Amino acid sequence: MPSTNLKHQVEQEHSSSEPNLKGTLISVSVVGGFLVLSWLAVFGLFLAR
Amino acid sequence: MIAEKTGLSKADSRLVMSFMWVTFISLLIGGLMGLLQTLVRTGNFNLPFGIGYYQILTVHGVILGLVLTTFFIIGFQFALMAKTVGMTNKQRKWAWASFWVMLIGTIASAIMILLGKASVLYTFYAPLKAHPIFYFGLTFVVVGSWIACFVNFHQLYQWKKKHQGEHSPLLAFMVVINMLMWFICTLGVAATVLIQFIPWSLGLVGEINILVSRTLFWYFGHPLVYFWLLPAYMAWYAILPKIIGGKIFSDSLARLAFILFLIFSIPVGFHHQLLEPGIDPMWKYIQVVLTFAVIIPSLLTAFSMFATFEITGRQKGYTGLFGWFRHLPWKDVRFFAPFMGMVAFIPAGAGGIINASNQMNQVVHNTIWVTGHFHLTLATTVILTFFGITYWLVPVLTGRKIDKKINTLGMTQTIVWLVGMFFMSGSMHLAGLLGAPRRSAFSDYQGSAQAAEWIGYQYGQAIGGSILFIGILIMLYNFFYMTFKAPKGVEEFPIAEAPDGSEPTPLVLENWKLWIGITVVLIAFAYTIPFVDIIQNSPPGSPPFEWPIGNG
Repeated sequence: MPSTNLKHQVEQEHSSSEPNLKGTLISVSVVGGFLVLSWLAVFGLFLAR
Repeated sequence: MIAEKTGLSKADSRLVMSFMWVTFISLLIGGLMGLLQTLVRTGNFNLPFGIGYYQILTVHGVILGLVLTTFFIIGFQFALMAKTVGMTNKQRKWAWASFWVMLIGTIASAIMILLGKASVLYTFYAPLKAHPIFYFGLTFVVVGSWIACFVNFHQLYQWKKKHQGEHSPLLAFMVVINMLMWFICTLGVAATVLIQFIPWSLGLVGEINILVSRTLFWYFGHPLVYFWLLPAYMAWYAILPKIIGGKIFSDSLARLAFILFLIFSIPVGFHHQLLEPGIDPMWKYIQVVLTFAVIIPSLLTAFSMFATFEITGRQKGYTGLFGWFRHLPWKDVRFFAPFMGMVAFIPAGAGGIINASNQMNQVVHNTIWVTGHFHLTLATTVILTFFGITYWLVPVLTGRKIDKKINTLGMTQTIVWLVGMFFMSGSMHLAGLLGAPRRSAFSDYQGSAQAAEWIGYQYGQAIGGSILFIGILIMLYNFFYMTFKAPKGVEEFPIAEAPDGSEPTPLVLENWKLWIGITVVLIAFAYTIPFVDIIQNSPPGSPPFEWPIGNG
C-alpha cells in the first residue's frame, strides 16, 4: 500500500512538471507531413516520366 | 565598461569586426554577380567589356559560397568563444594570423577569377583547369581556417583545464563540434588540391583522375553545407531563446544534435554523385542511408525550436493550442530574420531529401532545381540567420545600440529578401522540374520546344534576383549604420540559459575521444572500399581543359 501511494505521488509530481507541448506535437507533425508529401509528389513525377 | 557588459574586449571586437567587413564586402561583390547572372539568363542582356558568364558565375559561387560564409562563421565563432570561454592575447594573435592567411588566399584566388584565368565555378571540377594561383589561393583559405580551428580547440582546452569536471559552455561546445567537422572534411579538399590539382595545373603531371577528385571534393562538399548551417543552429538553440525571453529547451538535446551532425555529415558525399559512373551502386546506397540519418538531428532541432517557443509562451500566460505563437517578438528583427530562416528550412529540407533520394535525383540532377534548393538552404535559411545575428553582434562589437530605425530597416530587409527569394528560388525549382539545366548561360538550344518552356521562369529569376539585390543594398546600409551611425551604448550579447531544475547533461556527451572515434570509423567504413575500387579501376586520367571556360 505505501509503495502504491509513493508511485501515485511520483506520477503526480511527474505530470505536474511536464510542460504542455501539444502545439509542438501538432507543429512537428505538420512539418513531417509536408516532408512526406513533397517527397511523394516528386516520386510521382519520377514514375510518370 | 562596455567590455565588462558585453564580455568582449576592444581587441576581441576589432578582430571579429575584421571578419565582418570581409563578409559584407563579399556580399556586395557576390550579390552583384548573382544579379548579372539572372539578367543574362533572360536572353536580353549581354555582359559588357568581354566579361564571360562563367567568370561571374565563379565569382558569385566562390565569393558567397566559400568566402562570405567562412569569414562570417569564423568571426562569429571567435566572438562566441571569447564571450563564453575567453581568448588570451596569444590566441588572439593566432586568430589574426588565420584572418590574414585567409584574406591573402581570397585575394589571390579572386584576382585570378577576375582576370578570367579561373572560370571553373566554385566546385572547380576537373578537367576544367584554372591558373595554379587559384588553387594556391584556395589552399591558403583552408589553411587559415585550420589555424582558427586550432585556436578554438585551444580555447576550450584551456577553459576545461581551469574548470575540471564542469561541462563546457554550450556555445563553446557547438563551435568546437563545427570546427572538428570542418577540419576532418577539409582534409579531403586539401588532398585533392595539393596532390591532384596543383601538380596538374603546374604541368608537372599530364593527367588527373576525375572521379578521385570529385569524390574527394564531395567528401568535403556536403559537410561544407553543415559548416554553414551549424552556426545558424547555434543561434537558434542558444541565442534565440534569450531574445524571446525564454530558456534553452534542453542542453543535452542540443549537444546530442550537434554530435549527430558531426558523425553523419561526412560519410555522405556520394549522394552528390548518384549519377556518376564508376562508383559501386551498393556504396551509393549505403551513403544515401547515412544521408537520411542526418535528417534526425534536423528534426530534433525543429522539435526543440517549437518546444522553446511553446514553453516560453505558456510561461508568459498564453493559452490554447497555438496561443503561445502570439507571444513571439514579431517586431524584433533579431528574432524575425532567423525565424523566417527557420521557416525557409522546411521546404529547403524537403528539397534536400528529394535530392538525396536515388530515383528523384534522376528527376532533378544538374537542373536548376538544385540551384533553387541551394538558395533556400544557404541563401535564405543560413543567410537570414546570419543577418539576424548581425543586428545584435555588430552593435556589440562597435559599442552601439540597435535603435528603432535599424530595427525597421532590418524588418524591411528581411521581407524584401523573402519576396525576392520566393520569385527567384521558386522559379528555379519549377524550371528545374521542367529540365532547365544549372551552371549554364542563356541559350534557346537551337529553338527547342522544351527550352521555350523555361523562359518565363528565367524572367522570374531575374525579377527575384533584382529584388534580392535591393535587399543586399539595404543590408549593406544597415551594416554601415550599425558600424558608424547607430547611437552609442551597450547592446546585450544574448546567450540563453538552461531551464531551472533541468536534468544534468550526461558527461558522455563531452567524451571527445568517443565521438571523434565513431566519426572516423564511419568515414572509414563508408569510403575505404569504394575509394580503393575507384583508384584501382579508374579509366585513364584526363588532360587539362583550359578552353572554352577554364583559363581562357
